[in-house]
Amino acid sequence: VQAKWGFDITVRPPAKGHFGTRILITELHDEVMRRLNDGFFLSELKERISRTYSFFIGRIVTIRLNDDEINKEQFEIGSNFASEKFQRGDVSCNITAGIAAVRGESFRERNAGWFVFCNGRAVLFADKSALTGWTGGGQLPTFQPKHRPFLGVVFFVSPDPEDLPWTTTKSGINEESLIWQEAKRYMVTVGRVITGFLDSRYSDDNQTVAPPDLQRASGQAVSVLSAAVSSSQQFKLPRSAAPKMIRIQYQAKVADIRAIESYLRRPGMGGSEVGRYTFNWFLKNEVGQDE
Amino acid sequence: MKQSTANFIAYNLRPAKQTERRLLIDFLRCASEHGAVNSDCRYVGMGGTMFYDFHLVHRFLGINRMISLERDPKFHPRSEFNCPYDFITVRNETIATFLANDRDDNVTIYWLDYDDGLGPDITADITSLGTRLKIGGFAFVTVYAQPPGILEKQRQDRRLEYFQEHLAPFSVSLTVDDMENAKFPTTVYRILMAAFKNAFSARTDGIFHPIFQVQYKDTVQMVTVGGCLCSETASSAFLRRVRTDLPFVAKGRPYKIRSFNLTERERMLFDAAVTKPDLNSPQAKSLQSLGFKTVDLNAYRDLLRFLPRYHESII
Repeated sequence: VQAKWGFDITVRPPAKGHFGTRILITELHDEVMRRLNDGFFLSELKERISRTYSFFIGRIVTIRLNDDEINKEQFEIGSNFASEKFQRGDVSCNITAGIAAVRGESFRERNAGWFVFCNGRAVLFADKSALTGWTGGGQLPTFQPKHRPFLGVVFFVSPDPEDLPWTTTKSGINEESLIWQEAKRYMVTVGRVITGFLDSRYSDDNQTVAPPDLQRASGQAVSVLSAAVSSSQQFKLPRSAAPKMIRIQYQAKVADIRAIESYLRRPGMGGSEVGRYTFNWFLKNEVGQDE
Repeated sequence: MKQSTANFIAYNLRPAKQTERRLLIDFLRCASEHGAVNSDCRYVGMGGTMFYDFHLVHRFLGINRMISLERDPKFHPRSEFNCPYDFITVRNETIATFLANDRDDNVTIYWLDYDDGLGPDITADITSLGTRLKIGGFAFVTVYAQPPGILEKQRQDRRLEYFQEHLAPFSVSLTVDDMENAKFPTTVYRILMAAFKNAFSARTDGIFHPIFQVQYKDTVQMVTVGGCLCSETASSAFLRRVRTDLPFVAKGRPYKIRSFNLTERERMLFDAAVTKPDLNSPQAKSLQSLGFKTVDLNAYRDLLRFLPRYHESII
């Protein structure tokens, strides 16, 4: 059993013009010093602060790192998003999923997936793992490059922080939390509409659809934070946009192609014709459709 | 988009399917006796062009708020054309889209009567049902329980690989032996049960009882699993009623609907034999002399109220 620990605080009246607490850490361990000076630490810390406190930065707090003001992570979503709310006890949960809004650039993997906030603090960033349901069976599909436009945001709010589904370090999700388990099922319900739409937009040969096409379907960019606090809404599926034709390409043994040509008594037919002939045969005889 | 099987299957002549429908309606009738199912409820199903389940739900349960989902856009006009009642809304939507957008607060009976083989979309639909079903609501899922076309000619180990890849969370305990053709319906049943259990495990407002478990075959093996989401107090009376009226259904394993293929004269003998207190009645003896066995009589007794009668009229 770990011994309880604590420190004394001397209470004093607030001094006008002097706010806050200064924490000075001295005599750092050698390994900590090395980590701080490894060249990546500061940029990683900056990014982490920018993402973790994106809900607060610029609104109610200013954070500086070595005197440089940190900007909040900007991520926007198309106004055609799906959202859902539910409440369990004192905890409210708002789930939003849609297509990320990008300005001219392609959809980036680092901004795709689920972002989870507890009382405004981000505890998961762009998660595409089984933790947020990307398992491929019974939940969301396993994440693939075609899902890069997916942006989902989950907002938990409670007057009692103990009720929120975060870990004691407030930097991760407590998977055993009942509200998290329930939210995860709602995330599947809301998120599947978006993954289903994205699946239908991309052909099987991984030919990507241009971002402007998706932007048209997703609507005008809005802040995810304002989307997260808006009332429940539905993602409107653009019906006519799905591709009608896809290209089929696969490798086949030359000997097998020759064998089919010989069987059909049509030497020189070629791989393309053999492919089309066998495809049509299957469509007609197995599926029962005329080509 | 997968085309509707109603294009090429004559759904009006499937006695086992009709028996299943009647069993399901009787199961819901047990709930209606306790007020759980009433005319305020909503029914969401997949009516195709025949709407048999919709007819039964309206006639026997008095429900007149109904939605039929037809995912195939080419088939949707025929589904709308054949819709029998004005109070049925036929929507050209997938189950996933419908469930994601459904905000209706009424107690609903969902019957997702797929003709597809079990896949990640269906298990995900069950997950969504876990978020949508209200206390007092019912959810049933029917799926094709034979190896689907893509697996039909595959070896058992390849079938297992497919399950592990596409239904990962539910395939952990599956073995190569579970992929045998003969065991496939049981495997599908086990996955459906696991999917329902998972879907409702986070619900704190009630317990889902998946006690309706039926396996049947007209042309192919099909499995249905479903039940009710109820509070602990409400469930005991309902479960007691089901165990009394449908004891063969609530046994913790799928009830297999037998195909009898009886003539009308044989059927009259069966009707008399299974309703007499004397197990060695003249009618029972006549049936035995025709080669029928006690198991046939027992199975017929279970289904006496539910077997349909078909008649042909020649014009």
